[in-house]
Amino acid sequence: MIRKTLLFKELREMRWKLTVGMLMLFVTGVSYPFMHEWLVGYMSSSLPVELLGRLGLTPESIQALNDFTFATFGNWNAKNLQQIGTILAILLGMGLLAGEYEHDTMSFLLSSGLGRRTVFWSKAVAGMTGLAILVWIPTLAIFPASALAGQQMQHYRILGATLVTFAGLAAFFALSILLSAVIKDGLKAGLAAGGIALGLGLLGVVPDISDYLPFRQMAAMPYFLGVASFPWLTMAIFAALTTLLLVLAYRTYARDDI
Amino acid sequence: MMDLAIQTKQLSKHYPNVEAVQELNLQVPVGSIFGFLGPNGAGKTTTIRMLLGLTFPTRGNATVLGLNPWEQGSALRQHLGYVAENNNLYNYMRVRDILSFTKSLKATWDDGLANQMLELFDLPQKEEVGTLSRGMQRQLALILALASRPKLLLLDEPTSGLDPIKRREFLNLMLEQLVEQEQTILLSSHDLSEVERIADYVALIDHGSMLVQSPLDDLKQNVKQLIIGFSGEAPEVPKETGILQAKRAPNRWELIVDERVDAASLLPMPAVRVEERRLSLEEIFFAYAGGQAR
Repeated sequence: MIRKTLLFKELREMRWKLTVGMLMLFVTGVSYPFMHEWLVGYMSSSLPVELLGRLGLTPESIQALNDFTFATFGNWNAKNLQQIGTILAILLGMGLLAGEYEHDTMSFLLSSGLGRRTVFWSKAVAGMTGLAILVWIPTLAIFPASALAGQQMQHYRILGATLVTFAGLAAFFALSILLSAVIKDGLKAGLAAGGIALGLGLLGVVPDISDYLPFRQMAAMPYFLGVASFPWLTMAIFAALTTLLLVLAYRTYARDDI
Repeated sequence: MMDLAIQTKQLSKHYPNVEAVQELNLQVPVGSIFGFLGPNGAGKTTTIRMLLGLTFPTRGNATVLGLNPWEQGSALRQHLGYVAENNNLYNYMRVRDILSFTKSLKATWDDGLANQMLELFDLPQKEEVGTLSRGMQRQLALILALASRPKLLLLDEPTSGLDPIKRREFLNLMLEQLVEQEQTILLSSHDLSEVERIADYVALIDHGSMLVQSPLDDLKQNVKQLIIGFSGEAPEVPKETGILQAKRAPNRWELIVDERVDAASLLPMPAVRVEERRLSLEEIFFAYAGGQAR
């Protein structure tokens, strides 16, 4: 069902997205261990209490940032990986089908003897591979960077939380593919997926529902803080949602006139 | 009974506000060069894309090389070569990369044939597809379609956008290659004179409907112009089956008729003269299409 040739072609086509994405995630992820002490010191000593209050920070929460693992989690899993990762997941998904439609290369691809099932799932696997590269390589690079910066951290807690974040990002990637199969215009599909992500993010300010929204779930904060076990249910829901969106995207594509 | 590479029955495709293909019954014999002719927008590309299994019909069915294009698409397309009307290749790939990419997808790829055609067309292998001239892109598309030695070649306006000299060169080169391989070729074109030179069967379509389908020689033999002169005022032209086009001048008729018409039986009075003239494919097409200039 998956063709290696097609997989490599897709990875080649997404190489610039991977390069730029990797650079952004490396800068935000790997630089943090080297800036941690200065940042916490600056926040606790130089920022006026009033401003901290406006930012929703208390002296206790600043104190908590002295825990390097917690601070890394706050910078990485709860912020940069989620935000940049969501944008990158959408960027990876939006062009996979729509790009072929826009340039009429889909007819060449299929007339070369490939079936639609092979084309779709090879593309989906290539996109998911790209997403995995973007999420895991910078995450794993944080560990040697921390050691170099002389920081101690609990790797498994970061890895566990990243697994949940990755599952959520996979769902946004699948949403982006589905929209590109329906709209057949990469830019519009990306904007639509981005709009949905932004809407879900803004809904986070509503206290009654914020705990159930994907971004809150993707951070896996209770698990990270050790007040809850690993969120298998969240993982299962993200996996089911991703599968559902991909199957819907495939069915849309399989019935489409080219 | 004739072996058919393509057979469609009542094949139709409806888009919102337009009936692109209407109840098309196409029969393409194995080993033929079949000219699929009609003006731009006649439904040729939609039909070809249906035959490839890329577009789904609204009604009707088709068998291509004995397979259903929509249910057995990938198996069928292994035996097909397709050159699209517009460049549909990956522009960012170098010529050698797209050759190697296509080779990896086609089980019957013939390196020798591909190299032979590359030499013939003298294509620069290190160039990106997008930087090639339109003529070179057409040549590359033809190499990609032919190098797997397909049983059936679907060429959708393969010479569109080429100047007349390049067009003739392209067709000659294509013919040389094809004669050796004994393939079935469906060649769609709106340029009737170019197809007239090479096709042995033709189908004419317009507004999605089949106007006529026949061996080319039979069509040119059977459809002719009759110029019938009268000594006095020409009478009304009778409404007879087989008269495709009729013009009545003061003292003569100019008729285009098919094989069903017997000139002698048409005449209500003795004619002064009856001239018969052979028609070009283009004239035949216009007669079937109702003489509409396109």
